[in-house]
Amino acid sequence: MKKKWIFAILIIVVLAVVLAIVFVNLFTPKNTTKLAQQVISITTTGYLSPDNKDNQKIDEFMTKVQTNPNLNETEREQIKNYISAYKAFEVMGGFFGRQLVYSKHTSVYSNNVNNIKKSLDDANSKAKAVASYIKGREEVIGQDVDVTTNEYVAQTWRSCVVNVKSLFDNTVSAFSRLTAVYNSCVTSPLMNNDMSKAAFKVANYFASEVKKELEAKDKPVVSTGTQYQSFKNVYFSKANEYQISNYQYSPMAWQVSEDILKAKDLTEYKTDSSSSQQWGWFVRGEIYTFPAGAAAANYDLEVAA
Amino acid sequence: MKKKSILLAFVLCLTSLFGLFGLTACGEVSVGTVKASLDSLVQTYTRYAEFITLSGTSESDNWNLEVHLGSNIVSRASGREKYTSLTETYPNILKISNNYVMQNKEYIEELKDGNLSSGAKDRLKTLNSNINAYTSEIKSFISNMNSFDGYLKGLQEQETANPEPEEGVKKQREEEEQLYLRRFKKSYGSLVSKNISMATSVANFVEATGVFNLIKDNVSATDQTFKLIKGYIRIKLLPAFSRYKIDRIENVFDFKSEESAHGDAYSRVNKQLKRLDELFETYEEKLVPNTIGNVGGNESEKKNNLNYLFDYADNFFKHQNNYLKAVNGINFHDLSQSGDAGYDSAKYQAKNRYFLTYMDTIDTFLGVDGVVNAPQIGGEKGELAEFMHQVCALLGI
Repeated sequence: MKKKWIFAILIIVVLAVVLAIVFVNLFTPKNTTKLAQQVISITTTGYLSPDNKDNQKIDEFMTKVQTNPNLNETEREQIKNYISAYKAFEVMGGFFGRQLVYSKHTSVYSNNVNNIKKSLDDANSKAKAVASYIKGREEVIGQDVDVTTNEYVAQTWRSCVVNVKSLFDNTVSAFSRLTAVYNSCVTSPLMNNDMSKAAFKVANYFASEVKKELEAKDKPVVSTGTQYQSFKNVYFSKANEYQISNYQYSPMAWQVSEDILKAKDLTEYKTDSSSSQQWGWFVRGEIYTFPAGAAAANYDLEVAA
Repeated sequence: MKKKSILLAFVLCLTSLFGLFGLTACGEVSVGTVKASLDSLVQTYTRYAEFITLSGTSESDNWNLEVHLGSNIVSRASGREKYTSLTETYPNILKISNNYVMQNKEYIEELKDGNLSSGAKDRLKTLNSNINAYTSEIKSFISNMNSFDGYLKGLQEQETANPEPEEGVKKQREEEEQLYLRRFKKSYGSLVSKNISMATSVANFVEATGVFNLIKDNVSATDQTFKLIKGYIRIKLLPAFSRYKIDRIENVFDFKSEESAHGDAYSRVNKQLKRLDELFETYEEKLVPNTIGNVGGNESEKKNNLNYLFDYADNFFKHQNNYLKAVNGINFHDLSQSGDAGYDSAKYQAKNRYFLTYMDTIDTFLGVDGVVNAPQIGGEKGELAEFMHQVCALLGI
C-alpha cells in the first residue's frame, strides 16, 4: 500500500516537472541573444577581431606571402583575395553581431542557429590551427633551416592553405545563414523589400565568387575579394549600415547596388555614384520613380545555401 | 490504485491548465470603460486645477496642460540650471503628450466595441491601464510638489536667517537640497513618463483601429490627413527623447554633467545627452506645431507622398525600438558606479556584454559628433535627425 502511494507521488512529481518545463518554455521570451553573444564575441575577441592574435598572425603572414616569387601568379592573386575577403568578413561579422542583438526569434533562426554556431566555432578553430602552424614554422628550433627563404615561406603557405580554405568556407556558410536569419526577422515594408535583399544577395554572390576563385586551379583570379571588401564597407560597416535599413529611400545605396547588379562581370562596380542633387530631388518626394526590386529580379544571383 | 493515481494526476493538471487559460480571458476592457477612465482623468484635472490646469476645447483641437509649481519652487528655480528641467523640459513634454490624448479622446469615445479587431481590443486594455496609472500619479505628484515646496520655504528662511553659514553647514544645505530636488524630479519625471505611456498607447490604439490603412487605401491626401500622420509621428517620437534622459537618468540617479573626473563612458553619455537636447529643440520647433507647409505636387503625387510617409514612419519606428532597447539595456546607475572613478566601460562591459553594442546603437541613432561620419541622405547627422529632416521635407515644413 505504502509503495503504491510512493509510486503515485512519484508520478505526480514527474508530471509536475514535465509541466514546469513546458510552462517555462511557453513563457520564456524567445530571442536571439545566444547567437548574438557568439557573433559579438567572435568579432570582438575571436578570429574576426583585428585585435585577436591569431587574426594578426594570419594577416601578417598573408601580407608577407602575397608577393612571394616562389608562388605562381594564381596563388598570389588568391592570397590577395583571401586578405580582402578576411577583412570583409570582419565588417560583415560586426554588422550581424550588432543586428542580432535586436533581432526577433523566428523559425529560420531556430533552423539555422546550430549550424551557424558550429560553422563559426569550426572557423575559429581553423584560424587557431593556421596561426599556430605558421608560428611553429617560423619558430622552428633544433633544425638547420632558414625560415626566411622564399621557398620555405611558400611551402608554409601551401601546407596551410587547406585550413585557410576551410576557415573561409565555414565563414561563408555562417554568413549566408545569418543573412537568412536577418531577413526573416525584418518586418518593415521598407526594410524587407527586394532591393534590401539584393544587398545581401550581392554580398553572398561576392562570397561565393571568392570561394570559386579560390577553388579554381586554372581559372584566372580577378580581384573579387577586393570588390567584396569594398561592397561590405559601403553597406555593412558600422558608420554605413543605415543604408541597409534605410535602403529604399537611399538613392546612393540603390545606385551602387544597381551598378553592381548591371555589371555582370563586376568590373564596372563603382562606389561613388551619388550626388546631392539626387538627394534633394528625392526628398521632394519623387520616390516612386525608382523601380524598386526590378534590378534584383532581372539578375538571378546565386545565394549560398 | 496505480490507475487512480495517474488519473488523479491528470485531472489535477487539467484543472490547473483550465484555470490558467480561464484567467487569461478575464479583464476585457470596453470603449465605455476607457471613456469612464478618460472622464475620471478630466475630473482629476478639474479637482486639482490649482496645481495642474487643463484648458482648451475640442473645437480648437488644441489643449494646454499647465503645471503650477509652488511659489517657493518657482523663485528657487530662477537662474539655477539644475532646475531647468522642472521649468522647461518636463512641462513642455507633458503639454505635447497630453495634447495628443485630448485630441483623440473624442475619436476613441465614438468607437463601437463591435467594430474593433482583437488587436485593437488588446490595446484598449493597455490604454485603460495607462490612463488609470497616470491619473493616480497626478495625486502623488501634487503631494510631492507640496512637500518639496515646503522644504524650499524652510530652506529659504534658513538662508535669510543665516546668509553666510560655515562651510560645513553650507555643504550640508547643498547636499540636502540636491537630495530633495532629486526626489521631486523623480516624481515629476514619473508623471511625464506615465503621460507619455498613456499618449503612446492612444497612438497604438488609433493605429490598431485601422484608420491609417483606411486613409492609405481610400482617402485622398488633404492637409488634414497630413496633420493626422504628423500628430502620430510626433507622439511616437516622444519616447526617443524622454526614455533616455528622464526614465533612465533623471529618474534613477544624479547625473552631474559638469563633472569630468570619470571613466571613458562618462563623456560618451554626456555627449549623447547633449545631442538629445539639440534634437529635442528641432523636434519642438518643427514637429510640435500642428501645422504643415506647402506639400506641393498634384493629387496623385500628394497621395504617393502621404503613403510613403506612413511606410517611412513605420520603418523608422522599428529603428527607434532598437534604440529604446539599447537605452533600456544599460543600467546607467551601475555604469556610474563601475570602476574606481565610475563610468568605466571595460568594467561595466564585463557585467553587461551588450554594453558597447548598445552605446553604438545610441550614438548612431542620435548622430553623436565624431561617431557618425557617414553622409545621410539629407545631410543630417544620425537616424533621428535624418528622419525628422525627411518628414519635414515631405510635409513642406
